[in-house]
Amino acid sequence: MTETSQQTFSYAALRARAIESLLIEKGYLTEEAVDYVVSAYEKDIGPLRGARLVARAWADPAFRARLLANASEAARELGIEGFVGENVMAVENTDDVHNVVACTLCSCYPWAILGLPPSWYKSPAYRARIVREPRAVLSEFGLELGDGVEVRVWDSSSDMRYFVLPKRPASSEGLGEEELAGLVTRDSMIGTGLPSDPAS
Amino acid sequence: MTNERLISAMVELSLAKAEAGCASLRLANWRRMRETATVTVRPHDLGGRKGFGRIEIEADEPVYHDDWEGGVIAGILATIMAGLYNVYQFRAGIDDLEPLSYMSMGYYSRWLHTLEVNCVTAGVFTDDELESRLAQIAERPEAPLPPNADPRIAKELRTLVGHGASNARAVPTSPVFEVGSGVRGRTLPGARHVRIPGYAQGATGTVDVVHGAFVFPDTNLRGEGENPEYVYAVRFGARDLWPDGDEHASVLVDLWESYLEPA
Repeated sequence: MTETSQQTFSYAALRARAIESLLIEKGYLTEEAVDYVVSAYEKDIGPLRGARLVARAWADPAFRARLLANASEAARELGIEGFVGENVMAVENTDDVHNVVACTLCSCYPWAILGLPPSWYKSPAYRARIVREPRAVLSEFGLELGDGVEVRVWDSSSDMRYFVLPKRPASSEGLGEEELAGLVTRDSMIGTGLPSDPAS
Repeated sequence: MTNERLISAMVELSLAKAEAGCASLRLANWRRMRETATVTVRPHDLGGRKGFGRIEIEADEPVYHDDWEGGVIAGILATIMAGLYNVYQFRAGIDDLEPLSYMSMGYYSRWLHTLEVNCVTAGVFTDDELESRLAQIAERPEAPLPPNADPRIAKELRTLVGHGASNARAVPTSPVFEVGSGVRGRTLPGARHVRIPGYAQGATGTVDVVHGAFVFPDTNLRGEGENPEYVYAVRFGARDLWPDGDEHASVLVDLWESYLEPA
């Protein structure tokens, strides 16, 4: 960290600004384009999109079948599409199978469905450990799975992106789609959490 | 403020982070591992590595932690969109880092690094131009950026972010493997950028899903064409991958056809 008269800028911040300045000067970037991308992932493209898909799948068995057959196509029915959402597969949790998503090689994540990934998803510790000792990792997230439950870890190494269709909480009967979406957490769609329980 | 001070600040930061996080990847160990390895060994290939502690989970994490991060994402999307390099070259710019740098730089600093490397390789700017611009900006960080109001760039980025661009391709051939086929991951020692993790190399599993065909990273990285191939989700028992792997867990990893052989 380096002091200036006005404000403190990190080395990375200065270097990033130098590159941004050159890209603008050379005609590859504009401040308008930067503002758009920053705001799109901060305000518009986030886990609420995935939550809407999950809630619709819980409420509508025919949609659930289409989501499991081709999640990218099903998502377009709700107007959800975009960069890193072109080829998405939804993997369904059941009483016997719990799915969890990772990328051990980098940080592949369904941006168009869940937004930018959280830091822990990109961390070396998660990437190293989730494939080898998933139960221990999930337990650090507060998720204790019974010994009888098979854990499936999806390592996103290709252009396919994965998200989890969690089990609908038993106590959510009678809730409308919007209320259901409110139960769906980001982590429940990565597989490191469960949906909120309306009874608790 | 001088470049020297900037560099020493960076080194201090790197060492602090390295001490905190990467005791298991000391450089000497790393070099020995690479020299004797029978599979691809790369710093980013972390699946199954030992020596990492608890996962740090930040409650109510913001989308960005620093103002510059979003600009790096925008710069990468814009330069890939302009055809200066492709996503495989973007990843290779990170994977080529020495492990100490990889572990100590932090996520968006690695992105900044590959943006810089790929822009220099593509001839967008030279190292000297960047150093000189950095020195100017270090002197006057709040000076305005150069003028460029070309509305096409933001418009094209909106289309890319809003609608995407798929790497799936139609191919005239049929997939070699089917659901249930026994397959073994090929071993690729010395490879530069491959998308088969080290843990799957030499391991035996079963095809769980036949995806469509996708652009093949290995040739595309080298500018040798898309050569699309079928991709399969292959299921491995965690216990078959590691002696202490979870007995009731499986790992499903997406592998291009030429990463596989019949088992």
